[in-house]
Amino acid sequence: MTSTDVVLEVRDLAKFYPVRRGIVLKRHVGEVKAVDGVSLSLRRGKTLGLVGESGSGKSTLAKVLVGIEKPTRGQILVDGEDVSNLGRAERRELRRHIQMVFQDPYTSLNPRMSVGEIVGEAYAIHPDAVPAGGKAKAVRELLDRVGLNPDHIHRYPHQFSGGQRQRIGIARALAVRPKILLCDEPVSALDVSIQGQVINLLEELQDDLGLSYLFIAHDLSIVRHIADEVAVMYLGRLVESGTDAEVYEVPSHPYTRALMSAVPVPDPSLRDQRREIVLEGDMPSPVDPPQGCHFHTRCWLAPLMESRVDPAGSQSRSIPTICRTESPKLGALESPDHLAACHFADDVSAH
Amino acid sequence: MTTDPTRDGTPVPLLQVDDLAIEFATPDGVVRAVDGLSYSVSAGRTLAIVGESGSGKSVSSLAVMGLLQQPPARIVRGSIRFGGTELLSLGQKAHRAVCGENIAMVFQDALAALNPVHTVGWQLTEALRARHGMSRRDATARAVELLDLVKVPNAKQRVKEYPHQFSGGMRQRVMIAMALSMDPEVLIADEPTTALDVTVQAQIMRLLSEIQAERQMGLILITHDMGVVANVADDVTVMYAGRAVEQASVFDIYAAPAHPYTRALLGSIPRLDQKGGGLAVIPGRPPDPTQVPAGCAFHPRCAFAEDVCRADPPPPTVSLPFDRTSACHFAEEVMNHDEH
Amino acid sequence: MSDPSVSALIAEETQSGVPSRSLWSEAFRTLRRRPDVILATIVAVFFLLVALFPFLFTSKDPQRCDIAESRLPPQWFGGEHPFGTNAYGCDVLAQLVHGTRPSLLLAFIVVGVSVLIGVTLGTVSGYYLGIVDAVVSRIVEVFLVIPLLLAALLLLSLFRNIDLGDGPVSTIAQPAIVLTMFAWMGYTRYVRASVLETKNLDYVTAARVLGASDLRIMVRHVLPNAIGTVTALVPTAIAAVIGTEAVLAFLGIGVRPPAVSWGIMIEEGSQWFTGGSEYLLLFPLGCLMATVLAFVVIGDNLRDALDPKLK
Repeated sequence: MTSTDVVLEVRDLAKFYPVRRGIVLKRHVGEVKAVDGVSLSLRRGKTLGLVGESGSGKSTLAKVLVGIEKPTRGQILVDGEDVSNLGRAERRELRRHIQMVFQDPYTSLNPRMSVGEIVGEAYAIHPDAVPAGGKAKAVRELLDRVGLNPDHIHRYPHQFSGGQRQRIGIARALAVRPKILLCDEPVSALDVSIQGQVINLLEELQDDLGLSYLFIAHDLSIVRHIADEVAVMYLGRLVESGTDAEVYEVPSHPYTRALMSAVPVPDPSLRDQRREIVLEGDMPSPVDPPQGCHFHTRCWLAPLMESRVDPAGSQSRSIPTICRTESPKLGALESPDHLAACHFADDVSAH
Repeated sequence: MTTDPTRDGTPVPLLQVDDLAIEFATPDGVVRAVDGLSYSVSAGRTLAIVGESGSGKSVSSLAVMGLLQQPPARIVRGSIRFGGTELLSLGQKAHRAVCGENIAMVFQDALAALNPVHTVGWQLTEALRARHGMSRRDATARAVELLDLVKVPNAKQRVKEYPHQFSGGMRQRVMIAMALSMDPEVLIADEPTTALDVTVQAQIMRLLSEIQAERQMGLILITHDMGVVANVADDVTVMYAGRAVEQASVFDIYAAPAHPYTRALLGSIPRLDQKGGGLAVIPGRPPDPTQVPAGCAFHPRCAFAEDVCRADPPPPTVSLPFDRTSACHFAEEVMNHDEH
Repeated sequence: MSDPSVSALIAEETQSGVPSRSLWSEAFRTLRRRPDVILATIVAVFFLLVALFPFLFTSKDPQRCDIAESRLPPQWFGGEHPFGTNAYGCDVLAQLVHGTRPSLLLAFIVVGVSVLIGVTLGTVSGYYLGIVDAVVSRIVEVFLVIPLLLAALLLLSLFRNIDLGDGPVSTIAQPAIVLTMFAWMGYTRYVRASVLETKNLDYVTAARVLGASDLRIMVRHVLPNAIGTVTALVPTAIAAVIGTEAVLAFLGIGVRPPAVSWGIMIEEGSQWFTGGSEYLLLFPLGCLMATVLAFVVIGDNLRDALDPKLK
């Protein structure tokens, strides 16, 4: 992978939020490690699927990447240039490289602005981004581009269906001709029969415009259809990343396995044959994450490993010491690009 | 999970809905939200009602519960029978009383359905105290029992806590516990896992099917997710624009869908075992209830549509082998059509 | 992947035939068809005309009173004093007509300025939070705990001897300043609360991602969607100002005589209500209620008509 291939690189990125108590004198009593040392790279013209449940830190990561939040540590490189510590004016420039598509088509459009104003706002903010031919023409072209009727620029968001609103959101993001589009669960709020339309539009735009996508999702199935590479987050850390084939065919972290197992298979004849992994409990609070491996409190594999690590172990079904005390590093597996953060990564797919 | 998908020896249905039609008065005129819906649920069986937003799937279950706001809603015709009782002739108050004892409902948004100023234990036992005059101590004991039943860890402690102290998944468990508090014979779950994370969704679905199998309840699962349906349902009713377009056993419907909409829905599920190539697309969008297309409501989006579909509404039920029905002019052709 | 029939369908599916108009012209069209709005507009316009051109509605001088003609009952349109006279023998119609301007002017100035202050401070403190919010919130609390009448008494007696001249503005300047000082806090709190709610919505984030400045976000995105609660308060606030003005007048520190206002008339009239001259109270009170109701109706309908979601 040569460096010019990579359009966005994230190195050891972290975002901590202080936890304060008290009304007058706010004492600093701890930190929420929403994102804790995440490294990613997104290749030009490709899609990286970022999967995690609520509380995994994927939304915070998105906010840091689009420049709404400042990272606590780490670097963000766009085309090889570090953009994590820019001044105000330069940050504005950066905004033109990374744009975002939101999850909820109902809250992501200002109800009091017409479609023309919403899509054209980018040109009001960046007057130098207006293409030749003027703002109105550019807006009409964008609407046409995303499959909407260009004559509808004077309509308001409530006159459109959810899928159409999502198209308006995509047109808004495309106005500044970004290199990278950050898609935050862009179809999960849509009707099933509409989801395919939006996914296909995104793929079409990628082919035509050479866009790179960071596609955030809470489950693995939709990512399978659009991503070239996949990264899985749990409690602020990456637990597994690799190419699409590697992650789906040889899932090497117990959490990835559980996520895959949680996706229902739409075939009733398989329901009794399939061995489901159902995780116990909820994701722990990021204010007070478990020691050692963050996942050990819910891990289905760890108890199975105990007997092997410590054959004379007193109790069965307890967690190996190493999982409770040592945080596993993201390590390479069968290929240098397939990484997993598990002490027993090699055993995951065997079980 | 009932393992018995046999079609013989039809058990007496607990809840039977027949030819139900519901209209809404809106500023744009009268809208037919449900039109000629029939289904039945027996003890120990799971019926999945599948549809997109605006298909009428939630409205019909509100009608079953006697929770429709009338007006603007109006039940035009049809019958809803529980046991041998016709609920629609009872009047709303008596209707709700029957439901309160026998039919319970779990909603999608557990946070909105719980009262933030009362403890979870208080809410769990409100009905018991009000209807059965249970003492406080007995009620608390019962609340702990109920939370145990839905596998909320540390139930003794948690009955004293407030809804905001529970995670999304735990709140949905509380909702299920609340629904179970009156020992219902039928449970209606309206998108019970839509707002939840995938791993939690799997937990809740497993819990629901366990409880259902154990108590031999009738379960109506309202959802848009054909994946979930495949894992838990016995029978499936697919709704589109207020009508049941296809009704069949879960095995038949997945093996050979007999309505183009069902076929398209199955095709558009993102699957883990199929790579890329885009998702199958259903063109257009569900119709605006005020402007349902003439003829078959699905025809503008249908790959099988011909002139007759644009002109005439399909017969409400085309009977097919194995007790299944489909509201399509070309039901047999669609069923026997092999794409792959 | 691109299927031309799909795009065609998508383009087709938005309801056709809805002509595109701006929000305001759309609102105007909706309002034009509502009889209650039309009636309210007529009432409001009537009182505005009275305030602007009092001489069109009476030929009498409200200051020229003849104590001998004290408390004449209304003689309606045949007599010299259609609405009768008050305790000092002044013509009630003339007083009503000439009292309209100071009353309405006071109400508009007080409500307008306090909404301006409240919206600005509320937006800034809700948007930036932190130290700005702490300071604004404390000031709001301080003003909320000071009793209005006490402060008004103190301030107005301090400035009693300052002469601001005779113009229509100067006669109401002092009560306007005092009433404004104690009217802005409510708006600040309401606006702050709705800004807090609005500023985290996705479309605000989207504007930020596009690189919009704070000012742009506040003016274009946050305020228009947060201001609804305030517009609902304005009509009743106008009523409250006119009412409070009456109380200040009673204490002798409101609109300065010889100028007249509805407040002064209500205050004076209330003393005679049980004395057989109830018309002295009913006329000014009726004018006040008609004006306020008109504004309530217009305000409510305008808010709904301008909300694109309610259409």
